[in-house]
Amino acid sequence: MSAPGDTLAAPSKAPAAARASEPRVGLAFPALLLVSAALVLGTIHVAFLRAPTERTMGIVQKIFYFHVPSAYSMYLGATACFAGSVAYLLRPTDRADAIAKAGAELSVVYGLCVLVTGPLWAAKAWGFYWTWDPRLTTAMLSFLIYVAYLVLRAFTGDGPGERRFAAALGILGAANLPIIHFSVQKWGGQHPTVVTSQGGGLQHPDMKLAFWLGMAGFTFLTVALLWARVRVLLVESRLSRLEEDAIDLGLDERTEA
Amino acid sequence: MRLDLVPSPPPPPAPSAPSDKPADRATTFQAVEGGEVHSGQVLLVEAYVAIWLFLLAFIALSWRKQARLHARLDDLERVVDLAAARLEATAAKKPPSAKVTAAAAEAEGPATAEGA
Repeated sequence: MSAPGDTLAAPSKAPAAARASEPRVGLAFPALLLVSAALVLGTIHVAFLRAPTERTMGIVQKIFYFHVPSAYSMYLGATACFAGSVAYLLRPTDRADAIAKAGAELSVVYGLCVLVTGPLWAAKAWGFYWTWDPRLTTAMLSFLIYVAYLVLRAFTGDGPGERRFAAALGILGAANLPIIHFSVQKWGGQHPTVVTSQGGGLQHPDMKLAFWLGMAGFTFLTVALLWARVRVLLVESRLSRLEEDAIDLGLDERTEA
Repeated sequence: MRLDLVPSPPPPPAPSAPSDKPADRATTFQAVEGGEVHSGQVLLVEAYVAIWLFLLAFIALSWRKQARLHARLDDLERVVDLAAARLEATAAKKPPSAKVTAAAAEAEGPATAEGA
């Protein structure tokens, strides 16, 4: 049955309320996808065909144009998870929970991208794949927190108690984000700081263009993936509620799991 | 030309049959400091492929989840159709006066279930 305390708890009102809370698609989503695709293709063009090769690192430096936007997208996913978790604790809705879960999923996907592309760059730049540098370690910790979040969601059901516990974990996971960001400045380590408030190390205009195109492309792509995922999760919640209602009304011979 | 005065080099040793002794096959590996260990091009391609593989896998998983939701929707639709058919059959069997009572009972049914 629906979660007590959930705003969509009443079975008879649930479909209408859920429909009202469902994000409208219209032309916005296809437009978002088109912009994302154009920006990502632009990044590929500029990074591989226009931006010059770096003097000391060589061609492997071009990983930077995808590694950093992936890390930034991981932050975006984690921020969505944090916002959804806070919103769920303040006012439990399916949408807040879906945003939190979708954000955690994206954090894991982009975290995987970061943790694979970073060591591939390091193999050339440092001569080894991994070291327990503060930024690397905190980034891996953050990735593992969101993996734990998804494992929790996958194996503990979808009741209000589990959702509240997951929301607490989503908030806890976000606490690590500033630590990842400032770890390089505070604790040193080997991880370079290329983009800084003083202007950064991207001196060539095509390098800057490739980098900012990558950042914009991954931002739009992340928003598009988040949107699509939230819609799927909202539909799943509505369907689960309808199935439970069907069982309660005796329409379905199955019993609740 | 007195080429015969120039000592001719000794003939190369005739190739002998491969020896079974390990010492005869001894060789040395010469280290080159600063040589390339990892090819930057290969690493770049690996990183690039990895990113798109992960993102495409995420989209594929999402697509699979949608397919499962469709299957569940089909199940639910079938259950609702069956229930509607049962209701119609019950209403058709009963006399007109009983039909009204049955319809009223059916209308109250969901509310009773919700209350429970």
